[in-house]
Amino acid sequence: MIRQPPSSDGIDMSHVQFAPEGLAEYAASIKLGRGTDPATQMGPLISAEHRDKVLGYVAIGLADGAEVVTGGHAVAGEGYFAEPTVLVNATPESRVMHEEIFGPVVSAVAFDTEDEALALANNTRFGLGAAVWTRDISRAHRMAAAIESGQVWVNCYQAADSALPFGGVKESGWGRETCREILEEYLETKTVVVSL
Amino acid sequence: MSEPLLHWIDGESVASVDGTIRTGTDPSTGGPGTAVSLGTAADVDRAVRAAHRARTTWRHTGSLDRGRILAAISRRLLAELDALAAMETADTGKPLALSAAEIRGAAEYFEFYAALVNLPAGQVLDIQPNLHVYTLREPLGVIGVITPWNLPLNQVARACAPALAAGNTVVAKPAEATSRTTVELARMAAEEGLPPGVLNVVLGLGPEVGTAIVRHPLVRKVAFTGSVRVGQEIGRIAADRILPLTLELGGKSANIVFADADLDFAATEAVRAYATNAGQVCSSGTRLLVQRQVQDRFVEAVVTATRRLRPGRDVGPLITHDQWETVQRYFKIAEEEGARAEIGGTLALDPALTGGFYVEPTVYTAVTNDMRIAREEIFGPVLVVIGFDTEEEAVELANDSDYGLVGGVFTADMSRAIRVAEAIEAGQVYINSWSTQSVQMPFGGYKHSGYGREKGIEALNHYSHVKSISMRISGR
Repeated sequence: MIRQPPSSDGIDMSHVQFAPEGLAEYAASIKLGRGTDPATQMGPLISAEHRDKVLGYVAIGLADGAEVVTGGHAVAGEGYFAEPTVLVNATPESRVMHEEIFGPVVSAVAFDTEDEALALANNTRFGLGAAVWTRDISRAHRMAAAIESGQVWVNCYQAADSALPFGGVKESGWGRETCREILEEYLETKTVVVSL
Repeated sequence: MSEPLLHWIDGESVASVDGTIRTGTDPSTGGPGTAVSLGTAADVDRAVRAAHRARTTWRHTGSLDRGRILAAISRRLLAELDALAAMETADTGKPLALSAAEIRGAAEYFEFYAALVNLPAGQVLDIQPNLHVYTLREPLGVIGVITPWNLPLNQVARACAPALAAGNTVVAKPAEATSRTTVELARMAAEEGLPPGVLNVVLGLGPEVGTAIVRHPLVRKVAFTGSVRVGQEIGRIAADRILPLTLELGGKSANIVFADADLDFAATEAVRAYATNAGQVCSSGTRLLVQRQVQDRFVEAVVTATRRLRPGRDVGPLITHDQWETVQRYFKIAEEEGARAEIGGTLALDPALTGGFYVEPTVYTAVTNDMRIAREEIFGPVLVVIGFDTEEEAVELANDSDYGLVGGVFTADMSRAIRVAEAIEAGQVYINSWSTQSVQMPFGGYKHSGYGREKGIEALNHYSHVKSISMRISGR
């Protein structure tokens, strides 16, 4: 979701660009290739079947009225490559907004207010990871608390560490991996009472 | 018939959207009991939506303010102890003193968790210089609490107090036979300042109302106490929904008595272990394992102590007609399996109790651990006695069970006590006194006795989940 300037809730956001173009520009610049090539930034998908599934979602998005800003195609030649793809204008109900595509496909949606952003973020069966980009520290904390997700990244994405609890809410699962929390998941608590 | 008991939804007493009424039964006479509205999925939907709406208000209520309300609920339960105990005894037939003890326990849950409202806290994690990383322990949202008929108010309080303390909202479904005190709890809680929608009660049957709670998409966790069979059914629905559960499903707990124990005390404890609440306690000690060199005289002491228990005075009835029939079926099974009833094995002998769902407290010998009466939870005042020679044999017998809820060890040898306590596969073990349960002690099962823990600080972890937040710090 990308904040659409100008802001309707009175905060000056004029320095922020409505970013699909920037996003698309960066996505288009990603160098696809074999993992053995040091210049490669993104490898292939795991199988032809999975590549077809990912591109199938692009077709579903298009059928639902979304537009492709960049990508959307398989890469000709050897390997199961799919272009990094930016979709815009997908409807809130579209399957590309609700199902896990598991490929390099992002749906960019514009919003006006914080409430709207939050409602869009939580309108999903899943809740594994989410990010907020803002310079407003109160907003960052409000959003981080209100997003239904096991992880929230503020001004970063996918920060991971073995000390950091990882796991989901809603259909993303339950229980936590990594961190101290994980030890609890592999232990039973037994209470022993000794009468004196 | 008296006016039926109504649901409590969004801060008020409401009738079913479209439901029927159950005429209750008084288990001590077999005559009419408390009439209860039987709700449907429509009532559950109304309650869950109210709980869902209330969850932000409750979560954003200051933690100390939440604690004050929970503490006020605790005080209110104690202030109304006599009335609540009378209601509980009317529905269950259990002795008034036992009802009163359970209600004091219910008040203690609210008292304990009222003081812990700040505890489901996060941490700051030191990971990288350019990241500020912290965790939040957040409430899950709407919790479904489904409770059985054996300790009605006590069990609902056990789940609700930590769930509410952690900032969740609740839709509770008490057993249809014993719903009164749960509705009273919700009403009193509202009068003590709990906001509307934070604690809702929907009355009705498990297959209808219970299932609707587990299936409702806005319910984010279910805490269930009851049978293994129903726990498994809930688990199947939960699998489809990726729904976390706390399951507390009963047991066939071993009570191990070594020859060197204080045998007189151990005998009275062994009776308390199996006969309290007419054996309708998931943590009953229903398998008595006795070292063979003292087996005969120990059984005699247990039988003597059992003889002092008078049905109708010291021991209540089975709480439902179905359960009464179940216990009688096990009397028959015991006979077919060749067990010997040292005492009991029959309906209550006192003719004044005719009509009520009473049985005589029962002790079986000539039992082996592979018999059904040694493996299945009877949920009545029925004890099986099995002999052993060595410590290893005792532990093997204790653990040769599908269940693992609690266990007891009686011995003068403290090293052995600790060895055996650690070797028993069960969530709670008592050494030299049975069931010294209290709100502070984590409670829950191994194996088919379920998973998750109730009580103690531990329970708060089961009514909250962790979110980790990474914030990039620029300029470093």
